Amino acid sequence: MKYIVPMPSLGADMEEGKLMAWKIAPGDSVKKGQSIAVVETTKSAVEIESFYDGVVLDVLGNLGDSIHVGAPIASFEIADQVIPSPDLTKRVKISPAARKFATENNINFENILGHGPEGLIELADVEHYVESHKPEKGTVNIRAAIANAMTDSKKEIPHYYLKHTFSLDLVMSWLDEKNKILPPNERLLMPTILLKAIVSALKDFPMLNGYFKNGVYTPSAVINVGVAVALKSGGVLVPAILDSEKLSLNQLNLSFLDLAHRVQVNELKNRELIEGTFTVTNLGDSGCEEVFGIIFPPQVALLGLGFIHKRLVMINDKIQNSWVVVGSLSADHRVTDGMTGARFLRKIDELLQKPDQL
Amino acid sequence: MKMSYREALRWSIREALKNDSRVFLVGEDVGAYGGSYAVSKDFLKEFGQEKILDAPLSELGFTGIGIGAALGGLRPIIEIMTVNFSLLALDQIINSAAFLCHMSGGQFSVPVVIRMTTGGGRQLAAQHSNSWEGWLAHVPGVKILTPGTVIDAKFMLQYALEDPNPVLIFEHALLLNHVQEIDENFQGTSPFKAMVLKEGRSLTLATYGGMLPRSLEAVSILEQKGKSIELIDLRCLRPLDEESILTSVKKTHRLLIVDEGWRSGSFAAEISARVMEKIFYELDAPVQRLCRREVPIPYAAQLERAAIPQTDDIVSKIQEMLR
Amino acid sequence: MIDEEKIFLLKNMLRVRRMEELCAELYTREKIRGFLHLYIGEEAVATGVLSLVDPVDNVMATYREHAHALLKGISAKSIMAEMFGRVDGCSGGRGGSMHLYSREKRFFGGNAIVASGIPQAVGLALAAQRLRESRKTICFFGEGAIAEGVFYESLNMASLWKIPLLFCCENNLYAMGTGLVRSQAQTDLIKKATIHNISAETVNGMDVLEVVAKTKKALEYISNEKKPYFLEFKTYRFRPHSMFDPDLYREKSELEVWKKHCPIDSFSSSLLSTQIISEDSLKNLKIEIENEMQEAIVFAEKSLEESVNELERHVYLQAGI
Repeated sequence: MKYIVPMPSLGADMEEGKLMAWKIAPGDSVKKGQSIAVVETTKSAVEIESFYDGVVLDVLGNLGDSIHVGAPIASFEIADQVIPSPDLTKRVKISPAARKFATENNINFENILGHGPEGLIELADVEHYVESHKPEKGTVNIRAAIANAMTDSKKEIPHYYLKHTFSLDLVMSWLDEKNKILPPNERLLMPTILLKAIVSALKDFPMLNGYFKNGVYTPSAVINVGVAVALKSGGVLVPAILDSEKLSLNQLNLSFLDLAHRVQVNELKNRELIEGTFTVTNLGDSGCEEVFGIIFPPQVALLGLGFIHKRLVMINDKIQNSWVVVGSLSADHRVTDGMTGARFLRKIDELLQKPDQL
Repeated sequence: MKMSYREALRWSIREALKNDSRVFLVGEDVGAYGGSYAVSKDFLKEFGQEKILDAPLSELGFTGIGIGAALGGLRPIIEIMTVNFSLLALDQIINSAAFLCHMSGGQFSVPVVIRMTTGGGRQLAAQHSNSWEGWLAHVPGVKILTPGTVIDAKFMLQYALEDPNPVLIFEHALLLNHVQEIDENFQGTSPFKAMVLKEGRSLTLATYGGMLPRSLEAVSILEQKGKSIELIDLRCLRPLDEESILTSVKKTHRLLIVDEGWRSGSFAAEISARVMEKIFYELDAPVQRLCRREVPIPYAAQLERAAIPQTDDIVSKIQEMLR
Repeated sequence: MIDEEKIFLLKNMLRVRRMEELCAELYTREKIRGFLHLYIGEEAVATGVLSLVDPVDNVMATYREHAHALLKGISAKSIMAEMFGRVDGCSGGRGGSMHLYSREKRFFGGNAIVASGIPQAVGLALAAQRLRESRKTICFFGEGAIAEGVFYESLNMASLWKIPLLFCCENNLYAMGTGLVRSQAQTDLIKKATIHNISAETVNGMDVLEVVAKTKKALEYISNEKKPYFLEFKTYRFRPHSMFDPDLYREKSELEVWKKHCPIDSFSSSLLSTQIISEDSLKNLKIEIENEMQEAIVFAEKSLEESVNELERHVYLQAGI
């Protein structure tokens, strides 16, 4: 049977994707899970995967085209089966005037919420939509997406903030020893160590790892730790290392390197962008001492890390020049209290003092 | 100054009789009786039998005579006592008055004015409560005027008499005692154009004739509730000033037509269809119609009231359209 | 009556006859379409009456009106062009056989709704009266029109209001296929007028001289009395009602009897026998008529068809005309 591949929705706020590259051509065989195209969304470039085995009949749309979510991008011949697609025969109710206006403004009205009778999309709905989705010049839509998410976060989430200075002397020396014997491409990075400690600590704090939606908090069974990455082109993305709790330090290190690379070359997978359960934002490179982060909804906590530096500290009544990093936790007060956050920070600290056990 | 619709009609006929020796009034009871609605009271005394012709109950005959007289160079005002009796004169109105210009390759036209009282609302039962203006507007060759204001009652006749084509004027019985403040110096405006009586943003209400005052009332009520309605007085059903309607709907994106005729095959249906054909993509909601219910008009007051669109009906219909 | 006048009457009857014969032929050759009602057999009526009508007078006729149009002064050319549906037709091709009009010649049609011209003729006469114009108004209609209510309405008002006009009832005995005796309880049509206090007379419509004589008398009455007058012309059409008519409702023998009273044959025999016209003159007259009609056909053939882009013209007359 013929199967039309729609532009996937890679997040609730995604309206369209820009076609950046085809990884298939008509006549190719495609395997389920295979990457078929690279699409740029407001957040990142993402590889679109095939959900079916089949043969490519046609690819639709030119590179550079922006295609609305749900619009066809390719057609495959696949084995007859039931496709769990949304009911495409269901017609969106939209008034003629609204339809005309949407068409003129290149808007996929299926994403517009109608306020008319029975959810009819009326002209005013489209006008409002256009008004509220005007892209800012230069930053395209990433800016708008960040703006929306952060505005919602600041409006809705009662943040509390806790700060903890982690001593890194032991980690530093352990790391030096370790890296001496590793081949260059497997050498461990300081951020990976920190990430590993955070992920390990999170296992004991399910109330900080999950989603708060519609007034209900749901802890996540897995830890997809999101890593905030500044884009060279501007803006920030928070791709997640999926199932990070299952990864060894080495695996985590590789995943982190891979992710950092793919962010910059726009090859993130959609799940990586939408399934983060906790966020780490590391502004160490920029020389900031500490971070007061805003939670990325629907997550409930975010850990900010400042730059790693030497500082005079008292240890066992002796002044010591010691490696430290300041970790600051932003957490959702609707879900946890400061005590939970404090214990979480202490747990990280404890783990960092036993790097060989990470 | 204040003037009633009846006084305005009376004024217009009197002026025409005074100013143009070719004009005469013919119809049932226009003379000795003074007009069945007292519009031509005392005219017989003032203008004499040559100008005020009491006709026997021969609608087809005297309409045909009027048409012939128009062909012969006079400017007859034919009064058909009520719209209901115009059915008896339809052959002359349609097959001759309307078609002669075309059939003769543009040689003849019939400069006749046919006035008739139209509409229901006075418990006169089925045979005396018709509204045929929309029906007659089906016919190319006639012009259909539907004065809904005192000003139009005052000036439409003059324009109709100046027109070389047959013009039918439908005067609404319920409006005869309607009094309005009018500007004494106003000289009238072409009746073949629709008029925006009230500007608004959210919805266009198009209507004419007897439905006009109650539409105005409905718009005022809704205005107090914060709704902004644009009211168009169609004034002339043929030729229809389509442009005014389209312009308004392009602005408001919603249209309600209030028409006293029956819904099926109504003039409201014509407007609705044109809006759909021409500016479908300007619509934000289906065009709605408020028309006469599909029954011959009953005698009983409450039934008659229910059969013809009332102010309340207009208000609630608009509220429904604007939610 | 002087001889020239008699020859003139004969010539006009022959013109009508020849035009109608050619129309029938052109119909079978599909040059003329729609309804076509021919006047053959009835020529004496229109010829006689219209010989007394001036250009300023008003004439109202029916859908069997080719003769009346021709004799009111509309050229055979523009009549033929009209039947061909061409722009040079007397109605610009918009009317056809049943709707010949001329504003200039004061010929008001051409009415295809039975009796609808009658009140209009009353109106025309009323206008002439009110405008103090010295023009006569002649209204032709068939005996079929007498069944219509508007006939009575019109006669009543014409009489009541003393409107001077001549009602000419062309009684050819059949309203389409329904004989007079089968449609009217009162077949004495004079009485239809006299009940309205309108003076009336019956005329032998097959005798052109009687038509002229009695019409003349009627017009004098109208002029003097300022009242309407009614003439019933007993006549007969030799051809079916229209080209569609299979003529099933009358006996061939009845037709043969009437044909013996052919208004043209009897009148030309009389003129020949009294040497008012010679055989040669008659022959020349016929050639002259043939030329007129053939020229009309050539004219009609050459006349242009109106562009369909012009379709919506003439629905309204522009103001100021």
